[in-house]
Amino acid sequence: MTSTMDFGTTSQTATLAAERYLKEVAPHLAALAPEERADLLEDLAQHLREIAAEPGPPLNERLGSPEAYAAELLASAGVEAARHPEPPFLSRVSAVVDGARSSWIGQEAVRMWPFLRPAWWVVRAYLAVSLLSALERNGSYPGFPLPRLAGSPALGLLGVVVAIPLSVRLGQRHLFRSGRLAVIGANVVLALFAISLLGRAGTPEIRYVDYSDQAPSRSADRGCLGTAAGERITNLYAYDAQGRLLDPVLLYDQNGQPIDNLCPEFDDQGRRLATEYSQDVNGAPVINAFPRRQSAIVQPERRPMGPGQPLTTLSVQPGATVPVKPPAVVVPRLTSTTVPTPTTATTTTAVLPA
Amino acid sequence: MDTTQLLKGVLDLAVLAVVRDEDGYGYDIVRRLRLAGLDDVGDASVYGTLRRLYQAGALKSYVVASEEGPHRKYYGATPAGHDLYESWIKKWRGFAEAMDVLIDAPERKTA
Repeated sequence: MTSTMDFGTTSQTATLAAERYLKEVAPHLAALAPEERADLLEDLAQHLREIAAEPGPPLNERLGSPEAYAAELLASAGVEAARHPEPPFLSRVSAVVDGARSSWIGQEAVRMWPFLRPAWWVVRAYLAVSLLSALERNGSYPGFPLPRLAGSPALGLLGVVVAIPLSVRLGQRHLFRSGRLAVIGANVVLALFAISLLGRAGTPEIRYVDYSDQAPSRSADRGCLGTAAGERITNLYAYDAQGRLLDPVLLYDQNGQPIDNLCPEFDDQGRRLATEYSQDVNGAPVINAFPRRQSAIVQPERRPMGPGQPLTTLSVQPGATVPVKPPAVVVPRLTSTTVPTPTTATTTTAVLPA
Repeated sequence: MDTTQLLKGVLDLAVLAVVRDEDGYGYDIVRRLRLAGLDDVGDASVYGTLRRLYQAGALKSYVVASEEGPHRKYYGATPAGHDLYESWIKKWRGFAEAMDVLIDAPERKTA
């Protein structure tokens, strides 16, 4: 009996011996239908590892030649040989797969796989809840880091917490072929979904909070909406005739395109702005809803150090944010008649000072 | 006569006999069969038989984590396996009696 201390190496040696023997048995099982063969090889790998871990002479001595082993196995297992020879395409695919498995990277992957599997079980639980969330929200981004369920990140968290043990149990269970195929199919769907999430991670759609390290620049250079004086417009406020702030309003240009080309990175004092976009019922950001909620990020004040002065004098905590308030505006009093089109004569009469 | 030829026909019964009371993993089942006197039994035949009986529903199987080595796949008889075992025993007894008669008959004549 091996002590716990050398279990690691003993187990590794056993696994290697089992893999070597299996590799020699495998070609002699070529007559089997591909599915049956794959199933048998997977199960046999486990069986050989068990035997290799038992103390005794090398596997070749204990089990006989791989060829004889395969023949004996086929005779006793009563497995069906392939009715049709493998189509050339499939045999080429399995040749490529076999080649990849026997390559150095492939062997490393096969060796690492048992350790990586639990991590995948956790990841796929998270992905499954994210997928559920995306389906619920008609395919829009499910939320990060927590997917939202019924619009709530807390429910999303609960979903993930419940899904992880289910996924791990499913991973530990030995499944029949149909069950295993279903799990493989689901894994592929989740992996593709993960790739689609990664692909979308860089798009502005999910940039709920917009930080930029770029220094403020004139509005014209990046197509940012700017004032006549060239200052960037960081937010828009709409008021009604009574001077009440309209919140929210949705703004569109003359072509019906949503107006979203504001560059709210810095305010006029050079402070960085964090911008939160309004969201639709599916949680997707609505980029042309105004006013946007913004807060200015206050950097610690750096005062020149001098004798007799404290080392740091901070008026606010570093990184504190100050919500940006709507501007104080005085709306002009409008006459009751409206302007039919901008090209007709103005109905508002401006009385210019003499 | 090669014992493996004889074993072929009775391996199903032999395997069910060793797991009917106590579940076991592949290598353990081979060991029990050899301890019982079936020295020539091969691992591949036993493993193939376990697989076939499992697929036929006569055996159940589950994996047990082992701290000392790789996980072990245990096999045990299902109720269908127990039924199968009972019916095979009857057949085997009938067969063995017939063989005994055949074998002993000439001896009795010569005696």
